[in-house]
Amino acid sequence: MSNTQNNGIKNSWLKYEKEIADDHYYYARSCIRQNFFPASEKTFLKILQQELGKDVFDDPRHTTCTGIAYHSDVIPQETTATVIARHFALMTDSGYENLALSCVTSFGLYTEILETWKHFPEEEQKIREMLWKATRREFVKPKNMAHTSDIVFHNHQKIAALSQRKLVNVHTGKPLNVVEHIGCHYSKLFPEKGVGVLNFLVFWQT
Amino acid sequence: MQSLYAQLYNDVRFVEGLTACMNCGVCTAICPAAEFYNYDPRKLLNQLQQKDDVAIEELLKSETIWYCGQCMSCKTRCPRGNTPGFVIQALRKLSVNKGYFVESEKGRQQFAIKRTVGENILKFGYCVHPEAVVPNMHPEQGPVWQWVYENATEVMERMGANYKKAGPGTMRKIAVEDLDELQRIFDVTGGTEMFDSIEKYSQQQAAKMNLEFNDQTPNEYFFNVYTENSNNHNKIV
Repeated sequence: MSNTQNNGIKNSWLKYEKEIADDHYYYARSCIRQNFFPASEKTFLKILQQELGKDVFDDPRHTTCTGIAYHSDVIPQETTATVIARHFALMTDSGYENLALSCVTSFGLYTEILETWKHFPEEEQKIREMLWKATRREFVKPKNMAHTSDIVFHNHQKIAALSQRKLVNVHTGKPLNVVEHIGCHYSKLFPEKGVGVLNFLVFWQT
Repeated sequence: MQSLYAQLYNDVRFVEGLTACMNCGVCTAICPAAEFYNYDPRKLLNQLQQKDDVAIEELLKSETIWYCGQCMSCKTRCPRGNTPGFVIQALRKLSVNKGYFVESEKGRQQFAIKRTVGENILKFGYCVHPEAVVPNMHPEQGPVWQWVYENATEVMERMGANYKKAGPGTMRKIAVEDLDELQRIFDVTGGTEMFDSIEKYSQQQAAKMNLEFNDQTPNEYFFNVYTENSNNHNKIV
């Protein structure tokens, strides 16, 4: 592939390049991940905090975002939006502005709520009033929002340098084939908010 | 009294989800639910564009609106920026508010979801909790989950969790004051009202079906909606 062609691909996918905060995250837990894969959340925090020396705040006040109930349609959007607004308020209260989301459903929902507020500013005002009435809390919207897999991707070179064992076939020395399931609400709801092709082009070249 | 269409239009998800459908059918082509169920998002949007309240009421009482799994594949492909998945959310909310959901087998399952996932939020602070995934109600979880369930404290500790204890960490106990905030949010934002609607109409339906209904979970009506399957939902080929 020529440089011109390569640059053309890069330019066409530029909107899919994602900015990922490098440090100081407010951590949002996942209902499913911590229930059925509890060591997964623990390991992520261990890598970030102990191996990479990053600041990640695991706030005991943080709860579900209500995502499963929301997508099962037993609660209205206003309830979910206000619970998420409470999380923004807890983040603001703790002095953080970058959100690290452990759950793909949460990633889709937090993004959906922020996008809804862009298209319908009156909805943001309504939710701010509801949050105040229910909890006397106020919030600043996050400056950066990333799924935990984005953050691992952002640090992949540092993690690789620190890793004790490589994921290679011991007989051939070749890398193992790895398949990653990308959650629907990470990749389908707002594709431009996820890590996209340009990031991967950079990844392949490194 | 607003028309049903006007009530749907009060929901921002409906406004965002249905803008200018030209019935190309790309949503149906990519929809996993349409592959297996008697469900066609293209047809659904076409019906709604007629703004016919009689047809909308029929839809709100039907099985059709409960087939979507909200994977939102439809959002990725529509050339006009419509999202049938968002439209489905607005339809379901109205169906619950009107009590029409109990008219369909799939709709009646809202009661089981409210009593489990919904109430877990206010009890545990999470939609799912190991205590609530009772093995005999979840055979799909298999024998490994049965073992985890019976040894949850030890397993969670081994996995580095802070299981049912105060403070940060995986599967921590959410403090009462935080659960109280969630309850107040539900009260202020319509969550409690939607729960009450599901309870009220489900109780009426239980009486019609001559099934026991009470505050206990499970009860006879719960078991019915949790397990009933007429097998009449598959795609007609």
